[in-house]
Amino acid sequence: MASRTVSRLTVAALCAVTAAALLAVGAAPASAAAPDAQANGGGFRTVAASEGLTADSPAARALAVHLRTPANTLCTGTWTHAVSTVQFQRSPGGTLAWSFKLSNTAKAALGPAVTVTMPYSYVNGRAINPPYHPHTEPNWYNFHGSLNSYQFIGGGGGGTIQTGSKVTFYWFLKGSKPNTAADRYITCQIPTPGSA
Amino acid sequence: MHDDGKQRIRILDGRHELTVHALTMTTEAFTVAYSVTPPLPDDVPPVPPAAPPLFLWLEAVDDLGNQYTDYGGAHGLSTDGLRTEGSVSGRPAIAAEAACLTVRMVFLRGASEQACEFSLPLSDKG
Repeated sequence: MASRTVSRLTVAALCAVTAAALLAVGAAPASAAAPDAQANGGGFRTVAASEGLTADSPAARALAVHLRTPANTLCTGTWTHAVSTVQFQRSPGGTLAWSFKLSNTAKAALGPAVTVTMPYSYVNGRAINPPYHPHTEPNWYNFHGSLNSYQFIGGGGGGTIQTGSKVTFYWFLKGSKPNTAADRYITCQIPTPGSA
Repeated sequence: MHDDGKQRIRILDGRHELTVHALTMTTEAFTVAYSVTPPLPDDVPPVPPAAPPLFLWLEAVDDLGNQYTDYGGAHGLSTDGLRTEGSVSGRPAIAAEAACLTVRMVFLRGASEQACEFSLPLSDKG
């Protein structure tokens, strides 16, 4: 049985405008062998400073992963991988929440700080505005996120996640070590609310 | 970024204290920086394998009724090991006409969902 409590406090906060960090990297072949067909994939990459990342290749790759990977596994529990461990839970109210923690291998490969982004995400075959804003933090941090309502990219509205829907999350990690990067992707099926 | 006066909120059955440090805004999002003392259990190694993970997300609404959704975040143990430091983002950008933003941070662990709520005045935003 879920319990909900709320505490209130008025905080005198001031604001300022900061520039959003933009990540521009070049892609190189992943060291992992043909992970695209997996629902739980990813790999380590190198970033060549002279290469620009064309939006097409990773986007097409991510969409292909989403389209051809069956969502046979619920977005619950722990998803381990050489790059990171992801844990999912859907709240009783319907929000799908996750944690994202780098593996020791990834920490060593990427360096003491990492920028985690989510350039692509999909619901039932269509790209949505990814639900993760880039965060640059020490490599031991938990890079968490959630999804409930979403908007399709390119118009056509959006919606709220529904039990049984197929989703794909594609993370891209830029390391503080020169020319290091990794990616991670998961395709899974939205579980019923209250599933862990 | 401006300091907010280090005001504090008891969270997670009163066992932890959340301090809201600052609100920053961009043209597409906003981010709340915070710390938690003592640190969140999941941030202090070793984390028992059987312990249910703690999930966190943000919900927000301004005084005009505009709603904002979670845009992810990150938190971890401070270098001195005394607190959790983190930030959590929301989207879209806060409406220019809004004067106040009410933020709700939701903590989900197992079957227990708890939230804390605080209001951030926006009158001085640029």
